[in-house]
Amino acid sequence: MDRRRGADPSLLVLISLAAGPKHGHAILIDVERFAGQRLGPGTLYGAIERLEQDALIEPLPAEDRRTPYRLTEEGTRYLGDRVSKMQRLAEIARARVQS
Amino acid sequence: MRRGIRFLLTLYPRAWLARYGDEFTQLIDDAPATPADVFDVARHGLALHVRRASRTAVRLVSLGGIIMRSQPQRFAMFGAAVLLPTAALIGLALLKYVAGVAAPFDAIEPAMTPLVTHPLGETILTLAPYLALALAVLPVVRGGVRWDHGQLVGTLSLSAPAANIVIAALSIAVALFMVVYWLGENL
Repeated sequence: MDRRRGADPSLLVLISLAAGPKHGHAILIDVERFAGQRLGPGTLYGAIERLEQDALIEPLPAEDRRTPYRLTEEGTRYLGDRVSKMQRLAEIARARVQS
Repeated sequence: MRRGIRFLLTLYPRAWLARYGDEFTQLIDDAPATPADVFDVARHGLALHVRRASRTAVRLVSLGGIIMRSQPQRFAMFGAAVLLPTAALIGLALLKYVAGVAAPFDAIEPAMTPLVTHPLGETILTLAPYLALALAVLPVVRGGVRWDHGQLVGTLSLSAPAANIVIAALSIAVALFMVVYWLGENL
């Protein structure tokens, strides 16, 4: 059994919201589709709470009881920086694995 | 499964539920719930409570530190009051058995004997010098730990009013006397 943990839930939420505003259930479906990782409800809202406190995402007016979230400008910048760093690390790792 | 999750939600902190409760409940209704989700919701709720409790503890400790540091002499006087019964008992005993002046000790002995022989009274009198020392010293100690260029650096400074120094010295003297006396009686 593979007991290794999946990707950071906060990063997955940011990547999901980079495609446009979404509410909780839509984020879960999107993350499962693009990352193959099913986030639990508590894990998802733990990530949402942290990202909102860090002003990386913000809520939009609720539709029924579903509250959509979107990336803030700070969140977009943060995600771009983080992806660039990950890309550099991935290139280094790939080069070392292949050598 | 959903009923289990809804029950767990009632155990969440109220402030969190006020902010996220509606949308979280809607998410539970929208998504098919699994046993793993029940565990996930329980773990998240526990984490929220632990975080809240730790924040409260940090605030209380910080507040206690601020109050102690703003009034160090008052805490020293409180320490003196805590130390007084033990110090008086030892002082009068020394006066009787070392200096030969028995009257003061004999005067208080009938009143003190039930207290000294009771386990709780004995414990209080024994711990008093250590508590008094803490009350005299803690308000005047500044300490900190920080990372500096990859090294853990600890700092400790002491800026004490005379009252705190006197009470601390008396507390140490009483505690030392009690330790030496106990060793002499038991070894």
